[in-house]
Amino acid sequence: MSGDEIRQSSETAASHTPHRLTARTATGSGVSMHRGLTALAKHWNAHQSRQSSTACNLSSAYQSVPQLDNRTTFKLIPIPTPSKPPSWCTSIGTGYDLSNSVFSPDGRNFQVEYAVKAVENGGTAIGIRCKDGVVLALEKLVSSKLLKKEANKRIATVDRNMGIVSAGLLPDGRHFVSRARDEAAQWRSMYKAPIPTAALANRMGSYVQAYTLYSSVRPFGVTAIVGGWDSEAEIPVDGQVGSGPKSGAGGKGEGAKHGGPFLYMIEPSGLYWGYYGAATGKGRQAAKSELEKLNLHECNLSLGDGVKEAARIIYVAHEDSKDKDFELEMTWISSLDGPTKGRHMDVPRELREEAERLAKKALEGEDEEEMQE
Amino acid sequence: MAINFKDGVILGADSRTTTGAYIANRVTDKLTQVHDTIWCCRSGSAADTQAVADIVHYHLGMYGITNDEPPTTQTAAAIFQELCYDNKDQLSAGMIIAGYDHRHGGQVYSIPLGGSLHKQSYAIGGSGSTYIYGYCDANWKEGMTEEEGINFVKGSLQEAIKWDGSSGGVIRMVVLTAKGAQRHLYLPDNGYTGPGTK
Amino acid sequence: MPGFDFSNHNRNAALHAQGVPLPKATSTGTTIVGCIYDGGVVIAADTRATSGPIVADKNCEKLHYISPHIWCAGAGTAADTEFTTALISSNLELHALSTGRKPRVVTVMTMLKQHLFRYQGHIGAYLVVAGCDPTGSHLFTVHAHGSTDKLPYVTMGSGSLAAMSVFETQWKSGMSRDEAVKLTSDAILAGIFNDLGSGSNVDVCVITQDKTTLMRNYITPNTREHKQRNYRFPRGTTAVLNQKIITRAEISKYVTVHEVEDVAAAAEKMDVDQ
Repeated sequence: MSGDEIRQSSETAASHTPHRLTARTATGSGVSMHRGLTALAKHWNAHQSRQSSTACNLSSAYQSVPQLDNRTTFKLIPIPTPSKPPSWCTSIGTGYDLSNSVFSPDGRNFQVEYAVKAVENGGTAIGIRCKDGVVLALEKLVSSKLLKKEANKRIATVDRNMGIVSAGLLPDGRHFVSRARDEAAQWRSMYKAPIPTAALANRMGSYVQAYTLYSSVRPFGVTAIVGGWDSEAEIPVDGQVGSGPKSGAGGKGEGAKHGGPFLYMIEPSGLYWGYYGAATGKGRQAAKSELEKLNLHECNLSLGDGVKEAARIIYVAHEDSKDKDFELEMTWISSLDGPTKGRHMDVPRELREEAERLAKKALEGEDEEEMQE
Repeated sequence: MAINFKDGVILGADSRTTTGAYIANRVTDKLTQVHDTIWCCRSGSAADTQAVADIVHYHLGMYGITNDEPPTTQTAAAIFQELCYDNKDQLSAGMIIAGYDHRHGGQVYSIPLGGSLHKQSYAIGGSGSTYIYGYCDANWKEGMTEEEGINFVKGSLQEAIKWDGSSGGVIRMVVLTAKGAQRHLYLPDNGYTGPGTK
Repeated sequence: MPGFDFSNHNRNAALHAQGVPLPKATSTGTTIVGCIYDGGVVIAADTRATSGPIVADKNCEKLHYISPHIWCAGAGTAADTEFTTALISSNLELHALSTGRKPRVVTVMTMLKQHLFRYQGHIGAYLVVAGCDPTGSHLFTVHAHGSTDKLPYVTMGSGSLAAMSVFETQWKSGMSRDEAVKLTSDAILAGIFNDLGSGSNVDVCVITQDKTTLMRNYITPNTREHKQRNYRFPRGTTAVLNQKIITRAEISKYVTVHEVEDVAAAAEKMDVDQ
């Protein structure tokens, strides 16, 4: 899907260039140009989805025109242009949407909003904060049958105990992860301890926000979900020799709980919040409603159950793009005495396949959903 | 020197700084605060240790503000180590870092001249420390009470002052526990029995 | 190390190797002291500046202005103390304007120590910083390598041992102003008479919350006394072999004569905005 997406977007960019130039020089005609662009975009989207559908119904794109000489000639009939701008665009950009960092009169940075649209076109990604760990899951829409299964991992690890899954433009996602790794390494070299998830989320939020300040760059086209487990045990300082008194440190306060699971979602504007459950990408609406039903804020979902729920939610979210093939990628991080020993790892294949089986079953039998325990 | 005891840590030091054979300051305070309950003992070049402690003080302050939670003794020890190791050729600083926080309790870290980091139950340093290795080893107990701890530190420093010409003056101590930081002062006029915390 | 060009030093070392005697920096051999009393702080200094064994200046000023209520006594290399205190004084005034508050002695101490530490002791400035600020009266010493001490009474310079002996016997806490002035000048006198690097007169500066009083040459125990006899040679001691008298009128034959009426008028007037 990714390769196809990039090719498509480059093609559309190339075809848009002449339009862009004219739009800049004739701001009065910006309105009509904008409509024209949206129309063209819609046309390409429709064309693309039809092309890659498994049914491969060429006849729906072209209308057959019967001829007198028994030959069936195909003629391309263009899709009618929508008469008004799409529903999400209640106020037209009119020149304020051409440059990054520019505010519109009603206080919006349109480039950032368009970046969010790019995210919404990507495969669904979710994160669930369970009481003893974090699960990250991704709906990887398969763009080509030639891609090797389970080969192209998209959920990345940052400093052993944290994982990042992103929805939207993949290269932007890779850049985001690369920067997160740099931040974690820099923190580690200064403070000789792993970076707390909250601090990493803060830094990444600031970093992403910086790309909304200048017209020479564009905002990130990804929403990243950062999940991590901050160690509850005492981590020694990197490179320390010795371990202090055998009876342990004196004067320790009783019941001081620390560490635990953390989940953050960072949007292209740089805005981020901490979540119990987060979803982004194409099927986020369905995923969010499923997550809300789980009542995650009560914190009594175990990690094992979390894995099954994550698989099920991805399958539910995939209903939006039912006609496409997809692969489920899941990772998890548990506490130190859990299955991953505080590290960010792929969910083992047996567990994942079991979760997928249960998810498929849940989808087939709608009334059997309460058996998901 | 700094020691772990039942409720936290105790730091102790003499008060003599010399330039050659002349005592430049006979009432020095070698126990420097770098955060609310993180202190350090400075030995070696006064200029170097003061400069390093000031830099760490700044970094810990910024950490507390930007990260919404106070820094731990581990963080302080890590920053000290980074400065002392990376600039090992230019510095002549032997530091002992001791701190208390609610989560980890009391910790003592020693950073000698080369810049290595040692977490220990008790640490001694400076020119007078060579004379009290035997004394400390023999009298050390884990899990001492505050009074036992103070007497241990006072006794060790008294011996060091007795034997080392570069050590002398008063004995200053800081006790770090859940109650906070409390300074002690013991004068040689009355055999280091007082005035204590007043 | 960035910031210092040692090429002159290298040249001197090379020349010295060939036998040329090394140039001597002017040092303030010096006795400087400071003392906190009840109501403020007083600092004092001697006034001899030496260049090796020679007295370069018999009456130099070692008490430097930093801010109206912060003064600094400097020992060590004279140029270093002069310029370092001037630099910090300038920066401090800008700082005070920026913060809108009266400058503090700890600020001066920190600026000095961070400046001197950066130069790793190559700037030979050993200073006693004293003053009154909204937080109270303070007294600090700053060494060339950048270490500082905060004390109720301090001495520095080559005469510091002599001065400290006076302090250690006679200092008490909560002295009055007169007692403090007497004590510090006694300490300086001890340095003047017992240390070869210190001499001439005593300067004293008393700083309180409201007022600063600089007493230049407060005590002058080393005035040159009247010569015992008249060393003038009577006329005729030297035999006159030949004599030629040139009157004022004829002098223009030998030199160009330029009449200067008024020195002040001949000097260039400064352009001042009205």
